[in-house]
Amino acid sequence: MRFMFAAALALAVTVPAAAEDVPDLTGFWNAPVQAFDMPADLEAKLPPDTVVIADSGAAEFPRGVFGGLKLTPQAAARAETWRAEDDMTLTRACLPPSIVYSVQGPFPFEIHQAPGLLVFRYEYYDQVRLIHTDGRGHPPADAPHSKMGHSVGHWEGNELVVDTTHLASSTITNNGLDHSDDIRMIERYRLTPDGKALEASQWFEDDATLENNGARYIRWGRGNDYVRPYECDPSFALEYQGVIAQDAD
Amino acid sequence: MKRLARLSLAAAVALVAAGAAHAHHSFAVFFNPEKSVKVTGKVTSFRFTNPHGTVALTVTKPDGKIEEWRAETNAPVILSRRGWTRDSIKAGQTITISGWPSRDGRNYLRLMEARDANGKLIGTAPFGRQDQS
Repeated sequence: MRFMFAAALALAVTVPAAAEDVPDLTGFWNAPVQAFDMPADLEAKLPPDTVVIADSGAAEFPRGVFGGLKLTPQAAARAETWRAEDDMTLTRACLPPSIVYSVQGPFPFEIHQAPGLLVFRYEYYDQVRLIHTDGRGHPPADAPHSKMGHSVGHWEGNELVVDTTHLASSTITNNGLDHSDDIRMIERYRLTPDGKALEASQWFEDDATLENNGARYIRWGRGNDYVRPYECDPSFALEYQGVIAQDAD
Repeated sequence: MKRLARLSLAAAVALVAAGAAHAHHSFAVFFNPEKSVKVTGKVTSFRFTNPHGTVALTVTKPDGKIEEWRAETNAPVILSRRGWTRDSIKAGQTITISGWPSRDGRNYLRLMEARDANGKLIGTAPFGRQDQS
């Protein structure tokens, strides 16, 4: 894996993105702390029966709120019995979420772009994502699934369209709603006209957990910083466990 | 012992449950944004590691009763952009912390700001709900 990432980065720095005559998304993109409405033209490209959920950036849904997503009975039952504190253990404290949730999280990321490949390097849990734009397809359905999944991309005008499959089950809204291994996600990335921000629509379907489809709109401002090491330390869970309950609110 | 047993059971349940969730926990689920809490005490430990830093305090109440409190910070990758380092708080130091209380009633809060014994803000800016990372 380390070799693959190194090879990808080497490719990214040795071949200029301009060779493909497509927008260059390279750069450091600040954490998306502010929420915005999805532009009408991006929303018009969403498939039918899709709800745009408003939990991008700083916003978060409390327990039992899913922003208009319609849960299957099984997913609803799971969310109902979910106990947040069960995740605060040594074995779980450093499990990264999948890109379905973390794409909108309040952490920066950087993009390295080359012909045939983009590398998205996220600060959140030190995750790295490869977006293949060389025309390849997805691997067979039984290929390994991961938190970043397998992504292929193509350009439609000034928009990078990314299709992601092979995602390992993880949270959608960080409050007990989890997607299955069969979720599919489509994102559309583009620069704002002034080039000062990167914006994206994120759409996902998952028949095992959702009776409709979900979408988000995310905007990252262009920054001048570095992705910092996350190096998650699971002993945080022991700190949380080390306090005694008094009176619940 | 009963508490340890309860925690062990919770851990066991978590292990056998689907491997879906993760533990960078939700502010909205764990903390009450409508309430605030402020305590002054002596630092017993300060951890500066992701996903969250923690500050442990010994707080002496007016009646002499001792309470143990912990504050959870934003992810240190965020703190480091606001002037914090792993030496920003030291054991033995007296500080005042304020933030949002845990919904479950524990002596546990999400840090909004920390000030030293002279009232000086630690770091360059406090943290708000928009920094829920």
